Amino acid sequence: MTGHVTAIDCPNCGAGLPVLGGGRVVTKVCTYCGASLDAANGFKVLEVYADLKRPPSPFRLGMTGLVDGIEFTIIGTLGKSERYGGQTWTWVDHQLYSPTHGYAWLTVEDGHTLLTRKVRDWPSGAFLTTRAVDRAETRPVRSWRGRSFTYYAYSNWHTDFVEGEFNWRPKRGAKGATVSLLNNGDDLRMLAYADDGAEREVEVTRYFPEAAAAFGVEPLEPWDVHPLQPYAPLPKTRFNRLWYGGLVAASIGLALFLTVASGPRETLFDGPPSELAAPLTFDVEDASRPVRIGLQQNLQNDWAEFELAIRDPEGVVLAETFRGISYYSGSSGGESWSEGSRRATIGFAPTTPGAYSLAVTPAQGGQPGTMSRSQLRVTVQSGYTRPLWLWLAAGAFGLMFLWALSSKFRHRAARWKGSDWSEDDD
Amino acid sequence: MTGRILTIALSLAVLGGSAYASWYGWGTISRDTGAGSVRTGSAIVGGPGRVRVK
Amino acid sequence: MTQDRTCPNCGAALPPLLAHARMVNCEFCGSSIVLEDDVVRKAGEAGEMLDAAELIGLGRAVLLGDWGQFSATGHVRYDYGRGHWDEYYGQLSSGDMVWVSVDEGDVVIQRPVTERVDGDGSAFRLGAEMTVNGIEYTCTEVSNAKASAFRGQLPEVIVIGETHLYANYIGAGGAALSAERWTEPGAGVQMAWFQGHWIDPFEVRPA
Repeated sequence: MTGHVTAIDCPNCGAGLPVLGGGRVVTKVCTYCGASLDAANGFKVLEVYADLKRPPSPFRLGMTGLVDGIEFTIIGTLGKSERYGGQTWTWVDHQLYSPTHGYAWLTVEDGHTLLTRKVRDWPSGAFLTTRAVDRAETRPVRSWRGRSFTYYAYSNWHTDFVEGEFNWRPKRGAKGATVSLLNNGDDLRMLAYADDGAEREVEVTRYFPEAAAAFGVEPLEPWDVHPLQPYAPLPKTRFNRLWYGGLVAASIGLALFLTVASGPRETLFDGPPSELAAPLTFDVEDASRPVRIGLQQNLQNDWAEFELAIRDPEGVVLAETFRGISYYSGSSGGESWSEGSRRATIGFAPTTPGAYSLAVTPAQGGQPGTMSRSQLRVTVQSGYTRPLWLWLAAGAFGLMFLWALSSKFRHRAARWKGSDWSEDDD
Repeated sequence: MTGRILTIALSLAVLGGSAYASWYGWGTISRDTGAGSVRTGSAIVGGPGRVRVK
Repeated sequence: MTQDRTCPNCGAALPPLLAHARMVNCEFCGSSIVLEDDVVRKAGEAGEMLDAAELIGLGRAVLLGDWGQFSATGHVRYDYGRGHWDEYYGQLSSGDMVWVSVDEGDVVIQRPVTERVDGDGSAFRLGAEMTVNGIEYTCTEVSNAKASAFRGQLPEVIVIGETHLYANYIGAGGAALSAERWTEPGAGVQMAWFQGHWIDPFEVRPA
C-alpha cells in the first residue's frame, strides 16, 4: 500500500478528520461542515450538506468493537427514513469496516441493533424489486444457504443524514427501495434486495443485541418486537408455564378427590308414590355441609308434583315446598327430542347433627293414575360436595397456562406484524 | 419479584377458595329452604313463578 | 523433485522449491528470482510488503468455507493507489492449485480459465456482460493496479512495479470472473482470465 493516510484536513472547513476506512472508501462526509468529499479523487468537495441533523444513536465514528471475534470500526453514519400513509419510520445505519472482513452495517432501529452484510451468493430466482412484489400473485419466497425466506415488506427509503466514510457514494436526499424477506426458526435472518437505482445488492441482516456491549456504549432500550428478534421467553413466562400447569393439575386432582369424597348417596324410598306414608328419616352427622335430596321418577310424557317438608331434629321446619318432574319425548321430522327431566333435587343447610325428617306427598300429576304407580326413588346425600368450583378454577388456570404456552406463537405473530403482504391483494 | 409473589398469592387464593367452595358445596342449598325461606308456587296451583309466603 | 538452489544475487540458500515454482523471493537480499529451465536469475526486487492485517498468510493453513483447507505458498500484493488487494497462490486439501484473492473482505477463489475467452478491450467496461464456460457475468469493477510486492513461490512471473488493467465480474450464486490486461514489449496486448467463486470472509477461519 502506498503510504496510508491517517488524517486529512477538510478542504471546505479545515477541520482535521481521521481516515478510518480502507482503500475502497470513495466518499467522506465532514462531520463538522457536511462537505461530501471524493476520497477517490484527492478529497475534492463534491457538495456541501448544510444543516445536517444528527439522528439519535449512541454509536459514533471511530468506535471499534468485535463482531464474531473480528474487530470492526464505525466509519460512517446514515440517517434514513420512510414515510408512508402519514407515518414516518426512522433508523440509523452505521457503516463498519474491518481490513480483513471488509464492510458491514450496524443498524439502530427502535432501540434494536442489527448487523447487515452484503452477500454475493445471491439466492436463485430473479432479483426481487418492488414492482415484482406488486405484480406477484403469491407471496414471494426465496431460498438462501438452505433456508427458506418469505416476503416480509418493502420500504421506499430516503437518506436524511450523511457523515463519515463509505465505500459507495451516499447522498442526502437519495432514495432507494429495499424488498425484505424473513425466515422463521432458531436462526433468524432478513434477506434484503436493495436497489438504489444505480446498484443492486443482496444483504443479509441478523439481530445483533451484543452491539452496545461490543462497541462500549450504554445498552439501548428496545421497544416493540423486531422482526428479527429471536424468541427468548422471559423468566416470568417460564415460571408461569410451570406454575399454572401445576395449578391445573392440582385443581383437577382436588376436583376428582372431592367428587369421590362427597357423602354417600342413601336411598330413603324406592317404590310407587302411592306407598309413601310416614315421613322418611335420615341422619346428618356434619351440620356444616349441605344435604341434597334427590327425587327420580320414570315418567314418560307425563308430569308429577310432590309436596316436600323437611324438619330438623328439633322439629323446626326447614322447608315446606314442592318439586315437579316432567318428561316428554318424541320424534318429529325424523329427529327425536326430549324435554324436561326425570329428576328433581332440593338442597338445604342442616342446623344441627341428628335425625331429620322428610315428608314427600304426591300432589298432582298429568295422569294421576300413572303418576302414582310410576316408580319413585328418593335419595339423600349429606356432606354434599360440589367440585364445579374447582373445575372452574382449573379452567381459569388452564387459560393462563395456554397464554404462557402461546407466548412463542404470539412472538412470531408480533415479528410478522409489520409485513405488508395481504393475501387478498389483486 | 413482587409480580411473581402476587401471582402465587392470588392463584393460591383462587385454588384454596374454589376447594373450600367445592367442599362446602356452595350453590347446593335451594332458595326455598331454611328459616324464613319462601316456596315457589306450583305451576298448576299458584301459577308459574308465583311466590307464596310460608 | 526439489533441488537446492542459491540466490544469484547474494548466494544465500533458497528454500526448497516446489514443483510449480517459477518465481521466488530471496529472504536475505530481497531479490526477485525467476527460474527458467533450471536456471535461476535475478529479475528485480521482491518489493516492500508493508504490514497489514491479513485474512490469509503464507505458512498458515486456513479453512475456506466449503472449499476446505488452503495453504498459501505464494503471495502477491497489488496496489491501486488508495489501497491494495492480496492474491495468494496455494493448494487446497484436494491437491488442486488455486488463486485466492482478498480485497477488504471480498474473498474469491479462482483458477485460470484454460479455454479461449472471447473478450477484447470492450470487456473492460462497467456493466459489460461476459459468458465464460456457460456462466453469465456482469462487470462490476475496472481499475489499474500494479504488483507492488510478492513473497513465497509463484507459478508465473510477476513483474513487480508493472501496471495492469483489471476487471472484476460477478455471476449468479457468487460466481466470480476476473481479467487482467497488459502490454508486453514485443508481444503486444496480453490478457489473462480467472474464474471462480466468492467466499464469505466470515467462513475463512484458521485451520
